[in-house]
Amino acid sequence: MIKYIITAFIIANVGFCAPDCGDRIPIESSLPQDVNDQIPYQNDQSVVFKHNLGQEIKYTIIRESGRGEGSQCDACCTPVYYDFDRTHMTPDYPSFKMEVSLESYDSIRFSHILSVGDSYFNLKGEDFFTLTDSLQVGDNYFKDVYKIKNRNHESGESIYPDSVYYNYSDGFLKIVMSNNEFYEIQ
Amino acid sequence: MSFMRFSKILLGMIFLMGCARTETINLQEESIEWLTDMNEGGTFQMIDDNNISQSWSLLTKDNSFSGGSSGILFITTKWTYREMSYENFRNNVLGQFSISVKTDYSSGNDYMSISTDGISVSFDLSDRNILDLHVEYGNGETIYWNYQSDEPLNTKPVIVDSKELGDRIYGETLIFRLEDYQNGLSENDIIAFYFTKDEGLIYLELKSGLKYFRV
Repeated sequence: MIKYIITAFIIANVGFCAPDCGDRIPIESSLPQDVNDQIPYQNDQSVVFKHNLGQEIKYTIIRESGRGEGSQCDACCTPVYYDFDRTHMTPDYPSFKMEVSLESYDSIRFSHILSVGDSYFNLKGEDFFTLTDSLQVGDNYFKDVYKIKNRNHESGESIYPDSVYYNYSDGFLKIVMSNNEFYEIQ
Repeated sequence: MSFMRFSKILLGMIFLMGCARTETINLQEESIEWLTDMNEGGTFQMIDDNNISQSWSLLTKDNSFSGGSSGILFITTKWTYREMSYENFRNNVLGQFSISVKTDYSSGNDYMSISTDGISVSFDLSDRNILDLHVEYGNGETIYWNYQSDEPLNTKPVIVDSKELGDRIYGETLIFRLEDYQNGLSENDIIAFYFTKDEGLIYLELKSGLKYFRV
């Protein structure tokens, strides 16, 4: 008798207490074209940076975009579909890789993350950044430049990217390391 | 089987288990000296031929004993614990460099294992003969050699009493240069390094020929 009561109890719990998820309406977002245009890099392009002591490093660019899939879960899981646009920059010298990543949150919000080696710089977040009118690199002047300070260095290494200079028309302009060595666009 | 007979066998087994010997094999003092004095989180810097600096940090440092048992049928008669010391350094461009020293169960000699992102090598510290060597290429292919392989190996670590490098003279130094299986490695893979008892890693050389020196 007890066996039947326990079985009935388990069935009742599983059957009646499990949430009725039904068909969840997917959360969908996309990146508007004008946001995609904020990345100045093209596939198979190359960009050269020069170390302050002379070494030139050529970065080869691979840009990929597409639609990602994930889920948001509480009691039930809701499918999430979003756009991404990632630019991978690979050096021809043993130096840090760089990346620019766009990802849509909803119809109006998106993330814009720059990464240099293990460090991340959030162009749309709360990271400490300043906007300057212009930056001189060699003989060239670049307008509307963001200087973003590294606030999330976690690798524990003593030499790491301390700040990044970036603008929407030319991309990475200058990377200043924590030991004051720096790399500038050529 | 009678109850009495079963009880006697059971008692015998318990007696044997109770008599299991424990052996602890400690590393030789001079083997432990190959590990640095650094604590976890410690860093050091190297500079390359083009005066670009890189830093390395000590992620993990460990000294422990690993146990193994031996016996007759399923009865353990001996527990052996051997000491192991390990350090793992990391650089966010060149990857990892780890070093460990252990004692070999069969020979009783201490041996050292060193691994980078492309190479793993173990060798006997007394005669420097390589016990095994793994070389991992960027395409995922792995070459595996061990002391039972028929193919002769040209690679052999050397330990020298002192090493002059730039304007500095270091004490006892391990010199390693990979002389085999280099073809599939990428230009940015480490193929040679010097490691001292004083300071640890003092020199690195990539397949491209780029060299790094301790600052």
